[in-house]
Amino acid sequence: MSFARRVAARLAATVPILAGTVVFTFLLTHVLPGDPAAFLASGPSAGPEEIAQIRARMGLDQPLPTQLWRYLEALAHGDWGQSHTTGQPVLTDLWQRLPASLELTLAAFALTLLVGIPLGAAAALRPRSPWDRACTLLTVGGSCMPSFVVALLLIYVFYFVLGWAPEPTGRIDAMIEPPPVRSGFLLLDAALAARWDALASAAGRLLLPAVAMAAFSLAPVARLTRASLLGVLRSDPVRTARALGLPRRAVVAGALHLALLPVVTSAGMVFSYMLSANVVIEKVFAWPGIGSYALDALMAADHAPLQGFVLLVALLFVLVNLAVDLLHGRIDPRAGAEA
Amino acid sequence: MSTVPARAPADADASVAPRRRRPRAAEALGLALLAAMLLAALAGPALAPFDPLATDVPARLQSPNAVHWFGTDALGRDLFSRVLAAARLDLAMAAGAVLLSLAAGSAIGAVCGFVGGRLDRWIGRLVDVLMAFPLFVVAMALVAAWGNSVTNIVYATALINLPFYIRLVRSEVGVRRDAGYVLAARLGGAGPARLLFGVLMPHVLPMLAVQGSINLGWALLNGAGLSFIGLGVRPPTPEWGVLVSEGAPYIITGQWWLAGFPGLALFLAVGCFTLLGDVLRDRLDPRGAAQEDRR
Repeated sequence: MSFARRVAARLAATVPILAGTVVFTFLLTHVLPGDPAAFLASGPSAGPEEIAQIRARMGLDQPLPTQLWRYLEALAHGDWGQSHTTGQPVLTDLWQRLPASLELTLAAFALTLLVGIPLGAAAALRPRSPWDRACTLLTVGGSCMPSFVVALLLIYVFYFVLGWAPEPTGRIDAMIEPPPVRSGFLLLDAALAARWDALASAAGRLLLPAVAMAAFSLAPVARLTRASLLGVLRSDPVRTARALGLPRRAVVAGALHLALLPVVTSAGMVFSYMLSANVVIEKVFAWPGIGSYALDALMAADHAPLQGFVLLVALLFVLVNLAVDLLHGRIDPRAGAEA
Repeated sequence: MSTVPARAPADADASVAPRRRRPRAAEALGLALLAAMLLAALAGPALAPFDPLATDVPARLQSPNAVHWFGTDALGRDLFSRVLAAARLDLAMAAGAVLLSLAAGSAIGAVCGFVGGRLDRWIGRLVDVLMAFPLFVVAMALVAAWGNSVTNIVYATALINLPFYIRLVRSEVGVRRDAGYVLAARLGGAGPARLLFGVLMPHVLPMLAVQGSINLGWALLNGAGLSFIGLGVRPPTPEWGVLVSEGAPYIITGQWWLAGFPGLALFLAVGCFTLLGDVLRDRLDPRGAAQEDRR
């Protein structure tokens, strides 16, 4: 099957999932507690007529299927609703905050892979060595520690005790003028504007939250790499390669390539952990991303942003899984042949 | 569990991947932690040296000392008593969620695996949609939707763990549906209900026990995470997630114990269930232990 057809098939397969996702988010807000109309009304003194008027204006008096249709129509036109707290369209808000969350998530993701894979590989190459023990300890410990506790621990050690880390609030030092917004990714924007002070400040602030997020997702990646590489090292092709007297470096490189397949597949799962961890970490570090946006909305009983957030996260997740799927097909010709 | 055949599989892989026996020490540690937690959950309020809700403002923000072992918080409440008192609520939330999803998930999965066909496909799709969301976000949205209460945390946690049980039981039942002993029982006149719950399910129980134990840790993390972001349990009720979130603002001024001790309690509790899950797997399902190394 050609690559283009494979992409098309995968895209088609995501359609029912996307449809289910949209319906789910719709249902979610329609079972939310409290009457948004009553909340929007001018105050507790608002009479039933006024509330009924608002309900009619918001379309809340229509039957559910009609409301669902209107919701879909609005989504298709890029109208994700209006936030009562910020007074802006939800899509605009989310779009403004998404880069902050993505920057953090991608940094944590990169960190996870850069540390997790070598750690797991080192453990697998020398089973029962101190490396292996350290890997086990770290992964077991990391997976049992809630990420908000890790985050607070890091802040205590690196900000309070050692004083190495900057104050854990926001993306950039308040005293430094932020670089002009081009992509929304602070590191990129700062580099583009050649603002090295801003770049250093943003990188410093990014480090702790990224490490806190990576601490949790490190465990599955390192564990999987270790288990997978152990399996491959015992497999027939590797034994043959060894028997042929190929240099160890070449054997390990080949084995690593094979062993990384399940790791790539699990990257989608890891990304999902990260998107979940985002909410908690953004709260701890006062990070102005979509997670803290959703939390603020949650506390203010502002439904549209919450709905938008859930939908956006689900969309991101579907996209990541699609990418992982395609990547997997590229790396492993067998997967492409099966599909 | 006496109906479980303790026979190790004879496939070649098990011998290729030498099974790592978990050292006895890990087992003992897990059990000791479990005993300590159960003691705290059952007798916590009686053991607590102070009333977990009693404030004593002059004694506020004391670091750990001989009287207040874990120190005191901003209102002078004894942190040790609060961490101890929280054990019951935290464990009850996790256990409730796991039992719910285990019962519902294995029933759904068993029927899917046994009946197959259209029903199986539709439920499979529903599960896929549920899995298309980052699960913590789903739980967060559900608690927001259903209302901010402890029972809703339990329901939300149960719901997001449902897919794991459905998939596990579905595949395990599906694999064995046409096994010899099932056909024999069918020939012997056993009806579908008896086949499913009398003949098939006992074989799935060990794996369910392993999954359940590991799941307890996840459920604990999930519940604490939700109350950390301000959902579900509300202060001043002592709960580990709430305690950590109450202590969080004091981290930057150096009062580490406020978030540190409840965080440690969470870590130990989750670690305990993970450890026991691994031990259970080694004992009950040697195939799974070997597989983990193989993949």
